[in-house]
Amino acid sequence: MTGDTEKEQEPSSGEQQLNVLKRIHEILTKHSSTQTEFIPLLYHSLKQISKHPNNSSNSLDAATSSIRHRLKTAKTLLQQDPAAIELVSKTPEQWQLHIQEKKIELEKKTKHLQRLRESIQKQ
Amino acid sequence: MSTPGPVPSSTSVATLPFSAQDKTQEQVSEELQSVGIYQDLERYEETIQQLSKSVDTFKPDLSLIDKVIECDKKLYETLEEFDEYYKIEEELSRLDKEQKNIDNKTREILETLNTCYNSLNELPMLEQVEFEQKVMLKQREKIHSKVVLDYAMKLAKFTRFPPTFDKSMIGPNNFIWPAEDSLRKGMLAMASLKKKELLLDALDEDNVNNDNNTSKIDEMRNTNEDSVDDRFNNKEQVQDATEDTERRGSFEFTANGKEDSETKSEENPDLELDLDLDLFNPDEF
Repeated sequence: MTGDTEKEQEPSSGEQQLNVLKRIHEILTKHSSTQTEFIPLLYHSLKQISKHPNNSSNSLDAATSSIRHRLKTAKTLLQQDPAAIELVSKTPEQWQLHIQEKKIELEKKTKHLQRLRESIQKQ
Repeated sequence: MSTPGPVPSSTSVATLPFSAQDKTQEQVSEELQSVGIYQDLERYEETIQQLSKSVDTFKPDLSLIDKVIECDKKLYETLEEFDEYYKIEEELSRLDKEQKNIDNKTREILETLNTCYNSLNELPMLEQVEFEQKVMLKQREKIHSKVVLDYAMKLAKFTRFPPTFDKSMIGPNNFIWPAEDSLRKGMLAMASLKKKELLLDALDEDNVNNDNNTSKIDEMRNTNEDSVDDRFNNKEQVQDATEDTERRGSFEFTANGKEDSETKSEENPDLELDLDLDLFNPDEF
């Protein structure tokens, strides 16, 4: 029972990949009011620097640190999930071809299974 | 500005469905370099670093801004493809489940077939069963000689075969004389064929006996010397002799019949002599 509940609680591998991709997507896109897109954030930082060029605390490196952190986190998430890497290593077109081949293969297997079942029932 | 949360521990390599589990770290890093999103992220990171460096050193490079915009555009184009990847992943997991289901069914069928094959192999072959049945029936048809002999021993009068028994002969023909009923039948048949002769012979014998009796009476009258005791003894002897002749009629089989009769005559010679005198006189015929 405990093993089953653990299995139920554990997300499947496909869900894990989706979780990773979704997390990467959330990190890189505008997810909330505090987390904006990169270009507006960059534009805002450059404008601040141009307004106060003599302010030593205004540096683009510090202003873009959050962008670089988000990019680094996304990279780390992708590095830690080889399944996600394998998923995104192929283009969607390549995956469609792979899915078609797999469907044909499964159809053949199903037919063979059906034929085997019929031959057993006949005998 | 919010920082992204820590990487979840559920994204472990051990639970992955793909062959990525078997890949080494170097292979993963090589594969990672070819992934579009990873390249975009690295290029974006590198360009921003260069831009911040150029701005912070008061040598702004406007081309880097264009490059950042290009990287951003490329990155978000790649992120837009993620929706397709979600669909692909769902389709792959569905196909994976279907494949597992088919594989399980196939395995179950093959296991059942294998079990049936083993159980059928454990059963004896039809040809073997038929052969064994034939052998059994043949054995039942044959009666064991020991059983027959035991049954014969129950029915037999003797526990051993007679010494005159000839093994080459079968049945009662091994006896040197015909059976008693055969003898009787033969005698009756002969009598029916020679009825007249026998009747005449019988009449002649009666006449001769009457003559002999009259002559004997005369002799008896002439010889009155014999005492009553002698007569009595003679009568006893006559009776013994008649009994002996009667016994001879029912012959008892022995191994040495002739020898027995000879020994009997040797043991009691007087009796034989008396018998010859009193009952049968061949000279008279």
